[in-house]
Amino acid sequence: METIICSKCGKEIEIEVLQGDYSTFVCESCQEEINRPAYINELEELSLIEDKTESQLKRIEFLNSKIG
Amino acid sequence: MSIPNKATGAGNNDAANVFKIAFSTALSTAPKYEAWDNSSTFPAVDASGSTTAKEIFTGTTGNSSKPMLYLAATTSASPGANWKPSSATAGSANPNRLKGTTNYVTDPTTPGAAGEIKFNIGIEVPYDATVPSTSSMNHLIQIRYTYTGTAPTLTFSFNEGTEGAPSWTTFTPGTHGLRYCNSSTSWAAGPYKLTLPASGTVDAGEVGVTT
Repeated sequence: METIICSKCGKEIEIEVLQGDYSTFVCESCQEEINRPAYINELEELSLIEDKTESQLKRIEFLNSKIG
Repeated sequence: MSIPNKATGAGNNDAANVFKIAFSTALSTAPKYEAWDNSSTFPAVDASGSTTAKEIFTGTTGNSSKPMLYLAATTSASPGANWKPSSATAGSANPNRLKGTTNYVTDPTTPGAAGEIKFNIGIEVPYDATVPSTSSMNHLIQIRYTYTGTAPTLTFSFNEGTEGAPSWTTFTPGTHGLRYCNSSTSWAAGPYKLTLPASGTVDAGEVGVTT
């Protein structure tokens, strides 16, 4: 196993094979933090739609789970 | 040949001559292929990406929350048949699913002056993707590169010929965009659609460059 390091938080992630450059790598949890305002914006936009499709309702459920 | 038109071999096919980027001057590191949320109206693109919150990156229950875009750097070799990765690899891999700098592809080469890189790209969409998809699928492809001295000029092109005898047509990012469509799409008249399946996932049978 090889180890790569998140450029935001320094967390070490183990991967099987190195390929290329990892200097800009961002781990899942750091990217989720960066995404959080976008999740909130999308939830607000979807909430304004009156006749929501089934897939839009599922997405709202997903966004609520992300925002907490 | 003209735009809009199909990019020959694009998608989960054993094709290396699909999209090409030429750099006028030498790079100092191997370029990376990334995908990010786009908040501009298609085909316009944001100056750069920062978030991966849209459904094209978060996935759905129907695809076990996987990023939907996948890309292979084909500068050095063809990707092989059925090259689509079943899941995303943390950091860089070739091929890989695309999600910001969490999952991306590094080209195997560092182009010199007038050097070129090539890639193939596709998308796998689950049955339960949000409809309409105007916002949920709106993304940008970003090439991250470094250089010393004068910035290179980039020329983007796609193949309208065959894999064996490519015919490259240039396009302009932000003016022309990619459409992921059903097989047998009429690229002259449209519509430019990908039909969702009743269950499971569907891969775009064709990818084209359009306005």
